[in-house]
Amino acid sequence: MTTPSIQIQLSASFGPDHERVVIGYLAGRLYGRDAWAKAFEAFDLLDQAVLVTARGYYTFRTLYQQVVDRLMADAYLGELLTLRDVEQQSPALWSRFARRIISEFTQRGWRRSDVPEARLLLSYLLYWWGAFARGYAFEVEVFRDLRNSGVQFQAHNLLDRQQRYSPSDLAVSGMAGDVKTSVYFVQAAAPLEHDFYIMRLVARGRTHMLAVLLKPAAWDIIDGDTVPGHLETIVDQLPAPVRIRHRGQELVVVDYDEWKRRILRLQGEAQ
Amino acid sequence: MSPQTFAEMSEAEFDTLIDDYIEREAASYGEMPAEIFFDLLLERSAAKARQPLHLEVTVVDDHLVITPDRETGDVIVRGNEVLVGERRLVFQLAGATQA
Repeated sequence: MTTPSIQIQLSASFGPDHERVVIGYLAGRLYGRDAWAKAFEAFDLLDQAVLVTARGYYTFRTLYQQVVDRLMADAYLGELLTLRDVEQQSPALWSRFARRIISEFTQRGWRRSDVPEARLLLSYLLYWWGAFARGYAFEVEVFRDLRNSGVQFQAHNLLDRQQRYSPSDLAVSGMAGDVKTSVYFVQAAAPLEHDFYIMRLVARGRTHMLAVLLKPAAWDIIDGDTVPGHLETIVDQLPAPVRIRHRGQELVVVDYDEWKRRILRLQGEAQ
Repeated sequence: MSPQTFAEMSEAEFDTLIDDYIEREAASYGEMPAEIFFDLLLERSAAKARQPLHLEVTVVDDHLVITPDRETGDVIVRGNEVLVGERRLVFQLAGATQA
């Protein structure tokens, strides 16, 4: 029996530098702005890479939806919501499903030493799985923390597909917001239309921090005071609310706990 | 020296790369540095706003399936539905009735 042939067609714009940076991402060796920018560009270009089989042509994006999202998303979210400690337990859940993706990749005959470009497909599937799974784990963490902190909010139901794909993840005091991991936020970058974004970042290469990015009008509703800041100084200026102007946009960045404190005060005054 | 391309990697080296990636990601938050994040976010959000979003439409078992050419935070596409802001656009084949 012969092994069915497969081919990978990459965009003409996808070059050796892109492949190297995908490997660098997998190896945990992305250092500096240019490397990260190149990695985002590489995964952008891989959206339209094509797997050619005897059955047809499939873009990597389509394959992610068919093989990963459609088969695993609901099961993952169902298990995620049963975890007692999402922060501690969700990485193991994420990695268990990641290994299931590897099995699918192998069973479907895409693991081929004679087609090394197929390794880009597995890299792509794992990258987007990480974005999805970690993103929703972070979202559940935040929802639980807000609830425990006494913040009043409305959140979408993750187990309801219709609600899961809602325009915003939550509403707090009439303001629409999203919960985003940093890598997904940048990869799926779009005009910042919500009032606020709760996000997690690495600060000075040492530890993670939670911060909230707000439109100035949303911050004004909560409390208008800010200190002027720059991209280079934000991390050191937090938890104070920092107002930045960059690339034609004005935004306020505030430490997550400080944002919660002011929201609780706002909601207390409203009662 | 570690391989520079996938073609230069043996099966064992690729397996190790993937295993290490999963182990490392499971032990960390996998987040990016704040110093880089804001600049790249604003740069990419401005650039992406100017790019068209292409939607591929296929028919699977008599159902329309719409697939965007990329994931984007402001337009949500799932199945036969496209969500733009608060507006949900539902597509169906001519002659088909809504279930």
